[in-house]
Amino acid sequence: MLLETRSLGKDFGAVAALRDVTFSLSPGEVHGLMGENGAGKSTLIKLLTGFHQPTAGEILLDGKPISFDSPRAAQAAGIAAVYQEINLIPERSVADNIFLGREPRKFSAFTDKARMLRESAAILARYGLSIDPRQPLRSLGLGLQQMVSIARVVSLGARVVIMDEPTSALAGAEVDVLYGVVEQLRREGHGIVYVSHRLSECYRLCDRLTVLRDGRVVESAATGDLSRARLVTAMLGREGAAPADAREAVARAITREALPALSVKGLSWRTRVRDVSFSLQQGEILGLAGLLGAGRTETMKAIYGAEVAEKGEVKVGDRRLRRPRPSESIRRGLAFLSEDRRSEGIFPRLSVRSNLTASVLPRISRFGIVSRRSQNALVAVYVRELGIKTAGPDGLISELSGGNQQKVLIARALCTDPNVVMLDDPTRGIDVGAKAEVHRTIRALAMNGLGVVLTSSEVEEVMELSDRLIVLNEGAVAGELATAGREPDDVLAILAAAEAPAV
Amino acid sequence: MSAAKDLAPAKRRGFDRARVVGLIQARGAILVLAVAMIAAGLTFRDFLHGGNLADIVAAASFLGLVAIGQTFVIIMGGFDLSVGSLVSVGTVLAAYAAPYGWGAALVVPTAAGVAVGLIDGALIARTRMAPFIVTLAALLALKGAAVALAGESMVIAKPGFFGVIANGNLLGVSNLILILPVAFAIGALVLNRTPFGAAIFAIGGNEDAARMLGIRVERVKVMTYCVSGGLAGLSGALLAAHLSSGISAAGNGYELQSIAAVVIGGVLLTGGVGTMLGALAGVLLLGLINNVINQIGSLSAAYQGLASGAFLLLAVIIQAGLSRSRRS
Amino acid sequence: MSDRLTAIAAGSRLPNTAWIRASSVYIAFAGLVLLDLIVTPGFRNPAVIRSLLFESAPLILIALGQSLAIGTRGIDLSVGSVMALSSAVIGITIGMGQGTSIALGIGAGLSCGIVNGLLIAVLRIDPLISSLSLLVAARGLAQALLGGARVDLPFNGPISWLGGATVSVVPVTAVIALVAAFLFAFVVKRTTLGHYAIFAGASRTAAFLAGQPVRATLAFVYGLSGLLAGVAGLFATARLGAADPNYIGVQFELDAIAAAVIGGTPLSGGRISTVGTIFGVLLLEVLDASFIMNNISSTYAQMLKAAFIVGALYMQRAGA
Repeated sequence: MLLETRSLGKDFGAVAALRDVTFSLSPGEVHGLMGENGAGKSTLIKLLTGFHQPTAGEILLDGKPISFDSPRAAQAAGIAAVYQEINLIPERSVADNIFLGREPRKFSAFTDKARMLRESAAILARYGLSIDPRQPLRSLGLGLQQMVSIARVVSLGARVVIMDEPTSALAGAEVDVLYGVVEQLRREGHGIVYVSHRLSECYRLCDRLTVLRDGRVVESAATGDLSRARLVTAMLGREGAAPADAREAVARAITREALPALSVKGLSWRTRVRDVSFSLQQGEILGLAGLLGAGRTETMKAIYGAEVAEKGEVKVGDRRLRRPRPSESIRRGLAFLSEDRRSEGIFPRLSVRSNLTASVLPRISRFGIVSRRSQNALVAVYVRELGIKTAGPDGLISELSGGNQQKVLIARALCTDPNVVMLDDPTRGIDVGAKAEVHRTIRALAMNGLGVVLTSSEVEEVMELSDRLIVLNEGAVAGELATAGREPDDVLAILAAAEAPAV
Repeated sequence: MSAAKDLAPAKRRGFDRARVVGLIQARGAILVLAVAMIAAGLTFRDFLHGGNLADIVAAASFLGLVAIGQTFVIIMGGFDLSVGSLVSVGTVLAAYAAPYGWGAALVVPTAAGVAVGLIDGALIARTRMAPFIVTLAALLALKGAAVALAGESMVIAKPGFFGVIANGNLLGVSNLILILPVAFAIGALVLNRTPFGAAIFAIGGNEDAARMLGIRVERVKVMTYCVSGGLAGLSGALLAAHLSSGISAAGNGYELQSIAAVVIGGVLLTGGVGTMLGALAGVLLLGLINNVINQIGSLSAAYQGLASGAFLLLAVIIQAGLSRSRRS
Repeated sequence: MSDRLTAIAAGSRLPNTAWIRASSVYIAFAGLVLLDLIVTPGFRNPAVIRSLLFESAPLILIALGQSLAIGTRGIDLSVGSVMALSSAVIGITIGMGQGTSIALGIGAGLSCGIVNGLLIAVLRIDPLISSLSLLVAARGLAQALLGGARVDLPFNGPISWLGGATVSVVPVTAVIALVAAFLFAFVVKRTTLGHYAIFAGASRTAAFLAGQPVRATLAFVYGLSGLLAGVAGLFATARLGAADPNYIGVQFELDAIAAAVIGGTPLSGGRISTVGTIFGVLLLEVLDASFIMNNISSTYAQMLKAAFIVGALYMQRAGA
């Protein structure tokens, strides 16, 4: 056994990020590590690579317990990780990057460039990569840059290579090159922890699969013994406790009118959004479902104009959005709430009033002077309507609970009098009570004739709220279903059956 | 195996454009320098005479030393505004130390520069204060120190060998001329062929990644400011040798000129990119401009500042444009 | 779960220390004045106060512009050189009539600010780099225009008047500066532009996603900073009685930044304190005056002041 963890646990204060995780890796084994956001994958990786220390359990290397007090100690012991973001220096050459920090010396003070080039070329050749080590790293595609990361890690003597979402930014032939590298690593006896949520890859590459959820291991088996359906169920699972409010089995009749509130055709953005099309009726709640990395956030951002789509057409009502930009979208009646409240939503250090009215300043000011009275009036309206608990409009937004912060952001979107509202995981990090209130608000929006596009990290929630679901898989539409009378298993079935999209 | 080969042709088009941009950034200044020399040679009769060219190189050697240090610091992602006053203090300290021999006159100012660099670097690396604030404050503080030590100037009564260092001739060529190529060659060697240089590029290119890759970022930062400070002190010492006196305003403007020269030479202010050859070209270009301005009798020396400022602005704009085209 | 933690954390936060740090500039100012009244000879002399206020006027203007730039999480290093450029333009156009030359001088400042703003907003150049380049270019232009020499200005006319006129003990320029500060505070607190600047500094991404005109805001901010520097150059020139490219505005940038940051406008952006900035200016000026009047030679004074600024900024950092 190369690497093992026994009952590994990690607490951050009162929060248990990882509990009782037992995991093992043999030489020459590719072990898939899977789970949704917050399942604990990155915490486990950080423990294995020495960024954090475990609060319970132990890590064993070659059968002997070991602890790392720093990332460097873990590297020295032979455990290394390669991440999605290329943590290398783009302007430097491939050889420079491979040897950065431990360059071979000549006369003990100078870098032996010749040897660097020779050894880099040797490593690259061994993995079947036809890369000139003298090239600057940035001249390579992201895929090859990732290979260089792997080459570096291997040349540093890593025996355990942890790959975190290695193909998330790759396309086509690059993915095959990665597969080839993984095979070579396996042949050489390295142990690979392969973190991914692309089911097709995991099934192709991995010998065993382990699924984490809520910090625990929920499934761990040989790949052949684990069906896709069982795997997806394990990843998404069901909440143990029943939610506070009962499921409202209101079947709403949505008439398919000629003019949809929002129409998206052939939207594409990089590799994350592939030819997505759908339409949304007024008063309809459309859910975007899918696993992490399916492209839900990216799709919304591309529609909104926060990212510039390379292809595709977006129409709000009968108006086509020409110049993709948030200010333009808002003007046309399309609003968006980011899932990352902290860095893309609220303005920390500013008041509730400022935060709430941030999108509509021109509408509540005359001759450029903001009307404090109008601001307070708006705040009062939404505090009442959405039940925002705050000390007052002057209060700092940072003092509000997550749920109330989210309500302020919803209010901000509503101030712009939109026809369509896109909410990206609006109940993330919110306690149960506030969640129910947000649900009520969302339904009320639809009742009032707004079109709503919605995602959630919980399949049950998105099913409960939506009239219709679009299931996304790796950036492409895998299926569509009306939610009346359906179970979350139906969504899982679509995901399980989805093929990796043709590139 | 074939998959990897498939990748190569697809990359070529993007590769070439980025490569061209990179070439312009690295070698553009040399081209401009060559063009400027030709233009000046055609316009002014005496320009391309050996004597005049030697003058340009000699006069640029003091700024050149400072520019080497500035190149290191800027590639690393910071910049050093204190060097102007360090040169001034350097001349003054050299004047003080000259009676104790030429060795002292060279070592003391350099050591003082290293010490200031140490303080600057420690403040910047450990407290994460902005480099411009820390080095700007040092610039001001040291300016006062220079005046405090020497009033307006302090004559070196018996320069002796110290004076010969700067004013003597070796093989019929002024000693000063040798400084520039030798110093830049050493600088290039350190920058391109030592782990220290590789670390500087790494920190400037992606500091977080550099840290994750195991580079001792704080230590390298402090060392870089020490190098910059030391070179500024040394430049001051040589300047004092040349002028046979320490002048408390000697280094005024060196900080901005060194930044301008280096940026014109293709060193990106955003860090991580640059060559010693480009920096040298930038220094020589500024020297050429100053020389030309002097040759045109009607233009006062005041135009030198404008010229370097205009070139700097142009270089910054071009750099931004090149970076953007490379990114897209 | 995280919800509850946030609420707990919010409740247990101690507001007291934050208050002290926020008012540190006022406390320091009061303390220094008190110290001076006791220790420094001749401090009570109204002539001292008048002189102090004359020096403060241009610094107040550029510190205001600086606090706006810093509020957007940027910086403007060019202000001292723009002052010099404005002064130089006044110097060479004085023959066209004082009114015209005043307008042209201020216009020069505004132009620099607009150039800066375009570089930052359109070409997306980092404000530090852009304003540093302008620092060099503007001073170079100022020196070139005047041939590196000082140009004395006529003894009569509006410029000279600005240089000496007072309202009892308060110079007219200081009055103008304070009025400008008042308007500035109004713009920051009450207008959409001012709000957009603060939003851009608090979270540029959130501002973009909320549909705000971030780039236009930045262009305006730096344009205004240039305009204020132009007027500051006029004041400094009037006080000096001459246009001097080597003297006007030299190293004013650091003072302006220090005044803004010490006064409670953090370098990380999102908050602008106009009153704090003014007191920051006054604090620095009193510091200068204290050194002079206690016969601390200017060289040590400079070193002490630099150390003081670094220390104060370090403490602000630790808190921000």
